[in-house]
Amino acid sequence: MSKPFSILSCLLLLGSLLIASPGQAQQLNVAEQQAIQAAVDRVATSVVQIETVGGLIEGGGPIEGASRTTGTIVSPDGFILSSLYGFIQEPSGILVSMPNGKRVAGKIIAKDTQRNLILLKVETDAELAVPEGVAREELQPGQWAIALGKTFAKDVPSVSVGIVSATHRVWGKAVQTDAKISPNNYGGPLIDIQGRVIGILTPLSPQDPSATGGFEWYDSGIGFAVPLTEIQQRLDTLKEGKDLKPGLLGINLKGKDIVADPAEIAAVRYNSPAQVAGIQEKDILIGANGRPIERQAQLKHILGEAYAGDTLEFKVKRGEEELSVSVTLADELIPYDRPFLGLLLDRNIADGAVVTHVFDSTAAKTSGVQVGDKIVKYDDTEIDTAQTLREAVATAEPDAAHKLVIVRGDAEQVLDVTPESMPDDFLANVATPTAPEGVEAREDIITGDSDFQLAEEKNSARLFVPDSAKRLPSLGLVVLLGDAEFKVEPQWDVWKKHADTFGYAVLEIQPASESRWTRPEISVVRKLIDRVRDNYIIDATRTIAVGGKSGGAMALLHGFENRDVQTGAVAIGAGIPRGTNIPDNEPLERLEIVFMNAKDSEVALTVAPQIEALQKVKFTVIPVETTGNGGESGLSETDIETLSNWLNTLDRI
Amino acid sequence: MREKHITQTLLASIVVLGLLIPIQTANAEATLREVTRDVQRKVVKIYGAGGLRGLESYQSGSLISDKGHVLTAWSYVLDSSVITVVLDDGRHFVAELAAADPRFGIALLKIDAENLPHFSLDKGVSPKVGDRILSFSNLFGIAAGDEPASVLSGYVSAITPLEARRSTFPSAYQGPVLIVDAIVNNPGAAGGVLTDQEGNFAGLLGKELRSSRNDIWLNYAIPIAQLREPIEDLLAGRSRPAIDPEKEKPLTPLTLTHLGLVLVPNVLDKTPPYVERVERNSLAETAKLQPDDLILYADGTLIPSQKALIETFSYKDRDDIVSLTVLRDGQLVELTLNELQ
Repeated sequence: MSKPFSILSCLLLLGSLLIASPGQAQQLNVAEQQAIQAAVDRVATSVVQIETVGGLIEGGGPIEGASRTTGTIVSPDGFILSSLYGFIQEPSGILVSMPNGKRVAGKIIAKDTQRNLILLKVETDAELAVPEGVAREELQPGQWAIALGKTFAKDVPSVSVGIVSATHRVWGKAVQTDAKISPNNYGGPLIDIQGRVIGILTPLSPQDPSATGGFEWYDSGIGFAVPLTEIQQRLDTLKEGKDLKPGLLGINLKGKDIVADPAEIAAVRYNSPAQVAGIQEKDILIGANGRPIERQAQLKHILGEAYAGDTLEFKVKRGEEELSVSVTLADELIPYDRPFLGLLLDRNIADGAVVTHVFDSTAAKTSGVQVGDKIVKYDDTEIDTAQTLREAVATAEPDAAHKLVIVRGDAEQVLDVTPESMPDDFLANVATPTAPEGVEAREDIITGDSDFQLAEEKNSARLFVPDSAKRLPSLGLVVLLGDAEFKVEPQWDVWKKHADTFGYAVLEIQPASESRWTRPEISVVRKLIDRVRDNYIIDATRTIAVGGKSGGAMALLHGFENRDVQTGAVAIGAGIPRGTNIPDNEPLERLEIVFMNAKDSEVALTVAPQIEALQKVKFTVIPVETTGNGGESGLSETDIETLSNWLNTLDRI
Repeated sequence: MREKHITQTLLASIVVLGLLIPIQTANAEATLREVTRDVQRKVVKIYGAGGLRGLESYQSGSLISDKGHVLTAWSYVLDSSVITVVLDDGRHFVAELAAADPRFGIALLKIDAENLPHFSLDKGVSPKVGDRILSFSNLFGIAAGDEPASVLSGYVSAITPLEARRSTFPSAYQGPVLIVDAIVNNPGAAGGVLTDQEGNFAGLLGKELRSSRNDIWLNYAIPIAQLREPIEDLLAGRSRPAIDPEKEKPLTPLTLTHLGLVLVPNVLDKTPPYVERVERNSLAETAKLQPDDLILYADGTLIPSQKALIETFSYKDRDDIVSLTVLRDGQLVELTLNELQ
């Protein structure tokens, strides 16, 4: 009975005190400071400094990772969570400074590659303090969020103060904050004003799933924390030394606009969880685990919070029917091996699939396909364009015979074909593109050299469009990515010379710093390619990026993430930068990769295991030695001609 | 009935609270506004050399005496025949470089003006981690003429030595700095002021620097406690010469050969210092180093690579006693070089 009154009177007293003493008007600020201090003190002993020693050097990409990082204690017996970011260099020694000041060796137990975390273990005699977590459901954007790190000092954690910006970001993987998050506090906790842990700080990016994705946002007011309470539910798995991995379904969706298009299945991978569960092409996923899926983004959210091994109950719309399908997500899909018929179609015929070339020792050759045949059906799929045939072949059951219906002369014929794998080699040269007979030169197409730049970016670029563009129905595109060590200038004229013959445009892009490319510039390359695609009819299946040194790394990175506009990547004297996730080889997205290195060079040795890894997931990889007469890092005329011929066969099926 | 009563009381208290908080906030804000305006009057804009190759020709400074003394950062901007100081009220003065102390990266300018609002360094404060701070500077040179300096608000993140590789780091100062979570060290901000919420001088904003440890941009200020003495020297007209770290190296430094220590082939930029072999009857053998040991620390300094080990040894005399921490079969082992037998 008296309690509410006493609270009220206290408040009144406090209020009158505050009003009555303008000299202490900053009391609110002081109280705020004390509250922050108290919150920090509550978890400080659970935040530890981690030092890492040695490890690998980077493979040609930007250098990332630090020798000091932060960890958050999650069990009294010595399990510690940190960010994967501090461990990408695979350190040879890990040292953890314990709350009692002693340094002990740490061991990597398991990784969470879905949310970029790592679990370490140290031996400890004393029971360690484990902080209290706060469930994500209790959070409200706008509430206090304090980020702690231990990289500056071993005793006092560093403090960065902000608010919760959003509760479900990066496809639901994390909470977002505007506190300053950087390598100085990755691995540390984000706490609320009561000193409860919201999550573990780590870089994350909705586009780039690698351990360094999102690093470019450091100290920018965009930071992420993986909810602790959700990781705690999975801690036993990690403690057993089992990595947590993204959960894969094995589907491709129709349409590119993930915030508008429904989750309609464009292709189901063979032997994937989706196929095993009976999900079919044209099915629409409309719900999972009781949550609705109206747009593709919602599906990405649901998958973002799930892991491999989790079972999701999908609601599927098939025609007028609604089905329930239970799918157990896989950590890896059986690598997709692209079926290859071995033919090229006439680029001058837009509304049909007419064979212009049949490669030797291929499925098409064996089954008797001839130049001039018009393909009208692949199994039950009607073929009316090159694209429909490409998709039909790509999504058909592997290692099985298929029916190819062709029109030869006036008669329809059915041929049996069993597609094989794409060879890891350059194919024989084929005829260069010719314009359709009797076509008028289109004078509205601007040819020749032009410089251009995007208003908001520092990168300069130049474009060459050959005269043949005026007559050809579409052009290939060569994107040249040079840097301070790999100069494009000496090769420019050779590329231009071949551009007319092989029917491609040449786009050179400089790194913003003019010395080397950095990962965030992937989007700049994409924007410049889009700019060219807006102005010319560019064939994405004949678009390649060619780069040397850091530009070679960029050619690969851009290719991995932009397979809708790029089909070939050529890396000269370069490999895949450390911390890059190799994407899955997908039926509807293709990327062929050429590594060009001098024989026995240091880069060739670094790249060898990468080639193996790419071939293991069935990417078409062509390792070649540079002919060596193109200067130290440049390409010779022969090299450029080889690549031009390769581009000219890239739209093969 | 009883329930209703409690509800009413609670409601009442909420209403009262609701009334109180706006007044309270308004007061806090009013003070913050006053503090800000008061500090801005003591901050100046400095223009000098630069403008080439993307280097800015401006920085910030603060008045620290009633006789026109301006404390600022020692930089190429001051390397000019004409240094101009623009006060908060827009008045221009040609300043004279009175003295400089490269050890702390600070310089003192003198302008011909008196009775200007200024910081009293005696009232300087040492904020703690988690304390709220304000930063005042002419970052990016966006304030011109009588426009007041830009103010940023944030918190002290950490208090830590400015981490520097001795030979390649551009800052001679390696003492403690206040790391803050506001983005304060931008072009033109050097020489600006960090204060507490009451506007008391807490630190001097330094030049833009990247951490030598992880290469990310630092946001920092040199605390007033470190600067009091050098500033007194500067006010007394005593300049200090720059220090060449190379000269601090001993004549007969510790080397791997002298120790009889052979590490694994140093092929990479960051090859870890694994022991390959220990020469017989060598100092390394006496110290009980063994093949496959990974050297982690030398005298408490983390040794991330062979390069770092050789660099660290180059600052030790060959007779110095050096403690080593090595990782051997997953355990940390403490060893001592040159230990007196």
